[in-house]
Amino acid sequence: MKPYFRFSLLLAIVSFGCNSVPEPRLVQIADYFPETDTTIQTNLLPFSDTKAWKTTGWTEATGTSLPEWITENGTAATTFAQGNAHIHLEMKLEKGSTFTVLLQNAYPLVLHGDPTVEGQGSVAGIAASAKASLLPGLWQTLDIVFYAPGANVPARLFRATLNGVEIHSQVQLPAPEKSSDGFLVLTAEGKATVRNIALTPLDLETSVPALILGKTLRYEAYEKDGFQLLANFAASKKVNTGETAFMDIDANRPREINYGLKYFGTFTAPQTGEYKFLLTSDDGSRMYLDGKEIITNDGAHGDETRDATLTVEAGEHAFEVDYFQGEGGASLRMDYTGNGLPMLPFFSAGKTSVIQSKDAYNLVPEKEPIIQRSFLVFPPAQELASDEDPKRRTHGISVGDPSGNHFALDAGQGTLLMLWHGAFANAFNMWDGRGNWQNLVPMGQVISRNGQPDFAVLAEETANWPDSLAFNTVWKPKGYELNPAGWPVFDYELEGVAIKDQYQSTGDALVRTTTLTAKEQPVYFLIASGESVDPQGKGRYVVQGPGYFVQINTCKGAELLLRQTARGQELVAKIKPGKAEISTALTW
Amino acid sequence: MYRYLTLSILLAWTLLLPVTTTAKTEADYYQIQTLKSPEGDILEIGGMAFLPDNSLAVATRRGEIWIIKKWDTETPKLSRFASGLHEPLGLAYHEGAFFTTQRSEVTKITDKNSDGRADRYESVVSWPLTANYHEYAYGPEFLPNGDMLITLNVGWEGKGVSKAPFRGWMMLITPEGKMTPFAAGMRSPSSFGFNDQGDIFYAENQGDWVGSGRITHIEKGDFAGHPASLNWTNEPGSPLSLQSGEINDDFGTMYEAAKTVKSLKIPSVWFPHSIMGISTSDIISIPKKGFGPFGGQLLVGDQGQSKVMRVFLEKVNGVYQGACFPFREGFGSGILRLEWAPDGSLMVGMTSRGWASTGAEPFGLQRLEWKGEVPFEIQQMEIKDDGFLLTFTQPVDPATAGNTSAYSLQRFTYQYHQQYGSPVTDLGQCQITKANVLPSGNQVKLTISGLKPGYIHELRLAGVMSKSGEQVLHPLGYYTLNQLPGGGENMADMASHSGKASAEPVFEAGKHLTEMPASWGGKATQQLEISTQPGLKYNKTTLRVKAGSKVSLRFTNPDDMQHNFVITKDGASQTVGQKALEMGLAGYGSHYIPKSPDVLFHTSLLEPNSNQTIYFQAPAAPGKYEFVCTVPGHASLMRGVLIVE
Repeated sequence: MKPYFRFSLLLAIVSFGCNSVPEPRLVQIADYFPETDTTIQTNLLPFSDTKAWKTTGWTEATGTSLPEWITENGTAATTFAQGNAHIHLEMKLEKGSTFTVLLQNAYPLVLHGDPTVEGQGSVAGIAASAKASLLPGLWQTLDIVFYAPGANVPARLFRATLNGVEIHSQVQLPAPEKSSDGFLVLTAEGKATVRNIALTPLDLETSVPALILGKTLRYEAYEKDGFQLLANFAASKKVNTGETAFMDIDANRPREINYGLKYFGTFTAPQTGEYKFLLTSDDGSRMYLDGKEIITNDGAHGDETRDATLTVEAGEHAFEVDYFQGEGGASLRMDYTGNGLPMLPFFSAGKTSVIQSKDAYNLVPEKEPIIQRSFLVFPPAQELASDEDPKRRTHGISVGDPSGNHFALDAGQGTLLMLWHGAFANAFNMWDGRGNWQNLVPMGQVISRNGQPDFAVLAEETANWPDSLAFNTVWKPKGYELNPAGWPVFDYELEGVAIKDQYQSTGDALVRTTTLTAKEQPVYFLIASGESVDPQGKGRYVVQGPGYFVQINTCKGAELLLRQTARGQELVAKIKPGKAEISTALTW
Repeated sequence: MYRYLTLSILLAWTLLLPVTTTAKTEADYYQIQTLKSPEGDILEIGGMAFLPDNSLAVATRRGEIWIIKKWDTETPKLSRFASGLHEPLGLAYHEGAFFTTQRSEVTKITDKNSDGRADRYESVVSWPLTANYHEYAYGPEFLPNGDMLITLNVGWEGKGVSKAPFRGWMMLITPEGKMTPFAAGMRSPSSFGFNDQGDIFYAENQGDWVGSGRITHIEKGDFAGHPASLNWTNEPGSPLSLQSGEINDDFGTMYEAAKTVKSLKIPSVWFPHSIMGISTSDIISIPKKGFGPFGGQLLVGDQGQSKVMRVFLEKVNGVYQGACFPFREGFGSGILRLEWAPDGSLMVGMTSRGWASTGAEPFGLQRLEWKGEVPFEIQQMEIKDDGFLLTFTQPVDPATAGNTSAYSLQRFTYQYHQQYGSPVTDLGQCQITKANVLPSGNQVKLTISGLKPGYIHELRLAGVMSKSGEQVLHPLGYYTLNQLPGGGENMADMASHSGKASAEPVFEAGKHLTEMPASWGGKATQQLEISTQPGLKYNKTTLRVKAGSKVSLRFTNPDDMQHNFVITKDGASQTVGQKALEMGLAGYGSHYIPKSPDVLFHTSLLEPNSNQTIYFQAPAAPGKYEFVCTVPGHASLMRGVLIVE
């Protein structure tokens, strides 16, 4: 049970007829207050606040639950110098528009409305390390931790995260060509909407990243054939030592496989308090603080994050991070939080990934879809304690589309779990050795839905959506059938009601067509849920958090409900007794 | 193993009678044919079934079903029928459909549009699981009434655990998909099958609560010995009510435990570990005709030793028991599945991924054909109140077969405890007082004192000849005695039967120090660590020490089976591994450490999730040495080099 739902309140329901292309009837709910994001400390909006902003071409949107500002070719600049800061910004772009965050009015971070445009997410000409943009029309979240240049130190983009995916880490920014007033400037070419703009100043004297800046680490490089465990350091051969600004395994490694790295440095806690350290690696790693092993992430495995939370006294503490790489993928990164700071990289140069021997286990859909059952790690990113295994779905089915609309579902709960583009999946974890993990690993950037069952019988239309269904009594997976093009039609049974759920990619979209014949049970189909599900007209909905689009193509024998809960919104089809068919097209 | 025995018997025989005989081999009677599969196709066999059109279908661990036509030619034709399954470990073809067991369900697979490719994957029944890798599922096998049986492994968390419903059970499934618990107590029931009476037998692998490999006759409500499964006996439909708290380490043996625990089913036939395989797999009944003189008996595969064994079964006082004999070794990979081909040959499906096998191929398909000659073998070994009645496949030579000194019999048992495996326990000799050749000419009645229910009786023949002068091809068998025909228990008891292990192993002096020598002054000059990895590997293939240094070596075993660590002279690791295998029954109790000048230092046989530190002074002579795990079946893969600098 997710704690959230214990107090989930269904405040209202918006319902509208559900025919071929329904026009939604929107009802404003008087007592509906969306949850505010408490991590945003200082909302700098509205732009009309002239003490904070100097703007041209922005207007305030009407009828939105949160204050939103819209522009076409507008500019907004702070009236104060930005300095060292954590900047949070949410924006929605249109196809063809470009949005620039000009840090200190000197260092541009550029986002394009079209995710496929080159240079997406680049900062001062430095390319982003990952693709994380969403489609135009979807809310996107950008978090930046920026350090202004000092006497002998260049400006640094300590971390930039777009939609939860890190796109820059500890990037040293080239000096600007001209001097700058230091203001934060937002500019739009074309249309853009913003909300929730916050700026938290970071005190150079007390914020931990400042204390890391300019410091170096000592490292030792080791080699050992068959490097599989941290214990192998004992018999490995030290081949190199050096100094480095970051734990940069690509730069520091002695060779591509079967090596170990030990990093030694000092962590200065600005004040006594609780700090959380997160160590992510492929393969194994561990962290010592003051000589005590606080995180153990041993073994040959893919990216796994282990964490430790502990009280650290103010002042200097020696730390050591050990890492080894056997074969296959390789990565090391460390983050920490505490002292009121956002999650920040800890001497980490960002993720590196070397895929070698695992390539042979890539599943590549060529002419027809690939359907593969496996266990699936879900949610895809999990922080784990040292002795914890990731949460997994045991009845996972992944479908790879030659045109790239890949998805994965949990047949055991009838849940569409993940959507992604790019490469399909890797089976190394299930087809190497005994396959101790039995996981198929999606290879693209995954849009992760919330994992609740997609179908349920509800006592009343205001009932909370369940987090899970009783396996084999309430919910039965019945298998699937392939249509002539090789696309699956899944069969399920919900309290005796047969459900057929077909997926087929059209190249542009993933089309999901669901048919069922309800009897007296009040069956509901959760088409989409998110922080918001906004009707755009003509059956089109934009789902925010996670971000994707739903187009209702057909809705027969059902009534569409837009349920507003304390968490957000749910687009639900309430199935009428008799035959129902709902066809939706998903894009992301 | 028996190759070595054959040699020694030959030697003994030559001393008795100066007659030259040519020893026959298994290949003279049963010939292995290898099916070629196109390069790139990875056929790790999890299940096999023959189709009405005589083509062969195989399910693979990578989740595919392939149909193989012309499997009996040089150029078999393969086509992929289905894909995307989650490690299917069984395949059946029934009334026009395939049935397989994936990790989480039994699936019925059909080709509705008859284009040669599956288009419907119907879940017959699905079940929850915890995502532990060891939660394998096997089957189905169809019963005559159309119901199916499947088996579910326990999970592995340093011991067998049953954290999802009915892990460790055999389940019965109706065609409509109603699943009910059938029998409990299984650990790793990778294989099960039927004898010619249609009775169900399942094969178990050595592990926790399982002293050695075995096959057990299973009826509804049986408890086969592993207590983790008993977590679910309070569930509706459970045919037994036994609670896991009723099982403990104190019974001594399964035979003793069964006196108290009424639902405990003792094994029909034990397969002594390392001699009769190390991982028993598929069970199949030999047809009356077409495969030699063993119609109605069982063949049982072995994954780790890439061989097939033969079982003679009999029912005494309503209880199955019998003997296992070597049958055919030398297959290419780890045998998981056996199926009769339409031409009367035995199709052998193999995979060794994750567990090494004597046959070095990672996977494969082979066929065993009977060449038509009848080998001279012990065809039957029947229990009588006062001994065994041996029936040979050919008339015997009365002079040699009637000589009591041509036979030896010893008996032993295994312990019933949570610890992994068991040493050979309570080993004692039986006395053969008479060997009468019966008028039929092919039978010998051995009169024996010392037979003991609850014990495995090892029969060795040395010098018995057929009338036509042939030696017994496999002069070795192990009879599991559960019942004497007259009932009762004791006759001419010669040895105690406490169920206790033989004395602690006596290792050669100085080779196994688990405490630091006092003379080192509390300090080792070099500390080494090495551990095991799944798939029969050490985590290191090279260790380096300084000549003459004082070494402490910590050996850790996080794997799910037992291993040891033995340092040998250069080039001797395989010899030492072979010697460990040849220790036979004594191997386990001696931690598979043979007494040999080739063995320099060694650890004990370590349980899963345990470790041991040993101390030794590195050789004074710089050079190359080797290290190896001498557990039977491991030495060829699990080894490395120790460099003394």
